[in-house]
Amino acid sequence: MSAVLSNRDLLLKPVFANNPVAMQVLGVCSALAVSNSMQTALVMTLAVTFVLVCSNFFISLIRALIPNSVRIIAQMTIIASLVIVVDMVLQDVAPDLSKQLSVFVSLIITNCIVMGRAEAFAMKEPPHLSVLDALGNAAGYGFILLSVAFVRELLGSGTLFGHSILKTIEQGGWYLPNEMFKLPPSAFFLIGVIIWVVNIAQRKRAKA
Amino acid sequence: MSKPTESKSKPTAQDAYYAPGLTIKDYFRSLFIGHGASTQDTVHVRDAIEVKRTMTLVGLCLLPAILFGIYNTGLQAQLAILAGSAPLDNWHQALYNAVFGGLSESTGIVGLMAYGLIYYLPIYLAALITTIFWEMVFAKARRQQMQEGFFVTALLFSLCLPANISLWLVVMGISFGVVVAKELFGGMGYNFLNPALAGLAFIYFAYPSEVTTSAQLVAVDGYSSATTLAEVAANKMKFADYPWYHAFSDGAWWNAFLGFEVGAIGETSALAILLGGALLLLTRLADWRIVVGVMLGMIATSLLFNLLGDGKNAMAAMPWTWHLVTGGFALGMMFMATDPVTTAYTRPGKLMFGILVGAMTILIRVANVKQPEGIMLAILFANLWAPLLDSLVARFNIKRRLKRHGL
Amino acid sequence: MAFNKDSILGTMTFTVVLCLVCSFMITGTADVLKERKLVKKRNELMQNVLIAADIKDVSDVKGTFEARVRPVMVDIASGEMIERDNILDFDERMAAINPDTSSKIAKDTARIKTRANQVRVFKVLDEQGQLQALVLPVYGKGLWSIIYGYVGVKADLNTISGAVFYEHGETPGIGDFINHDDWLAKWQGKQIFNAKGDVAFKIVKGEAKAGDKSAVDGVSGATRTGAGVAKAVQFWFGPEGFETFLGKLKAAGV
Repeated sequence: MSAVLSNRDLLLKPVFANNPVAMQVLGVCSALAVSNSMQTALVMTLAVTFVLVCSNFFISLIRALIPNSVRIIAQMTIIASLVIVVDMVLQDVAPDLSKQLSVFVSLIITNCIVMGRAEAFAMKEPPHLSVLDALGNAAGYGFILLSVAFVRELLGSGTLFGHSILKTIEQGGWYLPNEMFKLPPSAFFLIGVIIWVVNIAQRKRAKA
Repeated sequence: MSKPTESKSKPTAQDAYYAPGLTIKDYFRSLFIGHGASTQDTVHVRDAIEVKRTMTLVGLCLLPAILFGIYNTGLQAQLAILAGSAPLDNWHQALYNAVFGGLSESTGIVGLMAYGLIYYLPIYLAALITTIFWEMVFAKARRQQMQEGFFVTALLFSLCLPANISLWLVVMGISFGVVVAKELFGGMGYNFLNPALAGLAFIYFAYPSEVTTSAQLVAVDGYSSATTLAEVAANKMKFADYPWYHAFSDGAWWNAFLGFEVGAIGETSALAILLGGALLLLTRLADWRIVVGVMLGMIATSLLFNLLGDGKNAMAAMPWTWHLVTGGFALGMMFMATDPVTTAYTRPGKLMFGILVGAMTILIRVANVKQPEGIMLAILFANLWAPLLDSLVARFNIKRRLKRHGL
Repeated sequence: MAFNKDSILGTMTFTVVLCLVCSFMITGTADVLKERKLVKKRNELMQNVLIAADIKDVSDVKGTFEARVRPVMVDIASGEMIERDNILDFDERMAAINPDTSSKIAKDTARIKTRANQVRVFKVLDEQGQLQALVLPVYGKGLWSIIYGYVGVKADLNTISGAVFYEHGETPGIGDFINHDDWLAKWQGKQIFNAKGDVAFKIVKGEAKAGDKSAVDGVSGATRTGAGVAKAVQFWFGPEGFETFLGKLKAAGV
């Protein structure tokens, strides 16, 4: 962080201009796995937001106390504890969804966005900025996840949040679901397309 | 017709040919009239071989396969109708009935060709128009000339499809192939995947129920038939104690070799494809190293499976002679693996590329019961490896030269 | 003395404190949720048993369960029913891996290595108090994980009344068809045993033949998951599963 960023930039930059998934290509694994329906994508986004905000906040809070030699382990411990808490709460509140998300909630521990923000930002900046940064990055992650899930669920199953939008042939409608969008690799194409669009938009803005 | 250009000397036909801004018009004009000028100075172009002639030649080489495919489409429909199936109820059929008065036992070769054409032509035209559309869009957007690759792409793509496929699927598939696999990466010459195969893979994965059902292979109503590969995969056709040379005294093999079997439009006749492929090799448009590599990889892997097979999986016991004549193997080997853009560029790399294609084809055919056809995925897989193979060859060469010079 | 965070003592202190705080956080959450979880688990169990017995659309799950379901322990080897207190909170998972209460499986087709000597099953009675269905636990390894479920059989001890798979770690979106209602509905009315009394239940590749009374459609792309489920059913209704128990029940003429 060479230049000092305004609060607005902290919050908004990671959503588009420096999107963690599209620009830094972090956290792609979970984006591929849970983006086959809007519901799982939304819950996953909320879980990541919670973990990211809390971990950034706590790590930033005690950043002066963390010994340099064990800092990664310390970050991991905090993140892992938060993830376990999220996982337990999710199992309690929404057991069905928690089953659908299966291991991917636990895998937030290894989500590079969380680790990356802890190491790159929270270790150096005060808590309130860290929280803003976390919110921005979580929004960036959620933006990608939800847009991918939107396309995948709509084209793959003809539904959104489980509600039928395009009536499929099976239900007597006209829409033949595109099976490829049910498979994780389709998220690769979609993320690729998003990266393309973001890049073009950035280049246009740079020129202007 | 020549437009004034910036060159100092008086403008030639060649300058006009390369003049910007006439992309689409240029394309159609130069389809018939090439630029006659070749280099006059110390640098010599031996032949005016360029993309357009290459592509026209590839099209010519495909001609035997296309003609046979059209005939076979009619023939298989005739056989199915003799077996008791009803003709389809669609515009193809209405048109055919109006002109030729229906398909029957006595329909001759012309009638059968016409029947095949009525099904094949719309597929090809749909593919061609779609590719031309996308090429135009991207040529306009990039302010580039239109490139002729689409002609062959559409041809290859349409030949890999079952005769009775819905046209919207053709459009979807070829659009994906051209846009995602080719244009997004920079267009002609920059694509790392074979666009025809990428499009094919797309519809195979996106609409498995629409492409893989056997009902679509023959253009009649409700006639379900399986390709030889599917029969073997379902263990309906067995190869116990069947050495590879037995094929030559087996009528069924000759049938498959000549192409009188059910399958995608252009892939059934190994003979027609090999004939066209031979011309392709003679003109050096296709590199023989790739073809030899594919054969080597295929023979070695199938021999290995023949040895290892436990008799339960008929596909493992299938001899290489049968692998050669079934499915899209011949078409893939001759026309798709040899695509000059998506293969390796170094000579040893090409050989390795071919071996990889051959080996993967057999591996997929044997190991993946769900999808008995392997060449499509094998070539796409090898496409991804091509740059790596080149890099390995280059690195090996650097090391060897360093050694030679005692460095 | 100033706190030097990078000294050995400082690092040690920090690590210990951090670990303590984090563990308090986790155990605290777990404790708060524990009671709710237990209740939930029990409710889920009741719900699952009722689904497997094909009793649907009940508003009062707990009441229906208590009125119509009789959980009993069964000794696998002898096929006898055994009394036991607090049977609903019986921990099947522990019993299956504890060497004292479990035994090694000779022919481990379900790939679960050990199984409990005593297993909890549910007798479901109809309104008149007659046996309507018998709900048996089945589990076995799929592609990635052990799949847990219940299969209910009607009073003939052969026809499937329903099935439910409540826990698995199969590929999301591909292998998780096993808890889809429309797929499970295909189980109903299928017969586990053939005329000879052998386990005939299977999950076939693609669509089952129309006349096949024991075959359920498989889902392509998830062959191993389907095979795991089929093998689990085959194992648990086989000689090392409930065969003896079902034989005794049949002999007793229920």
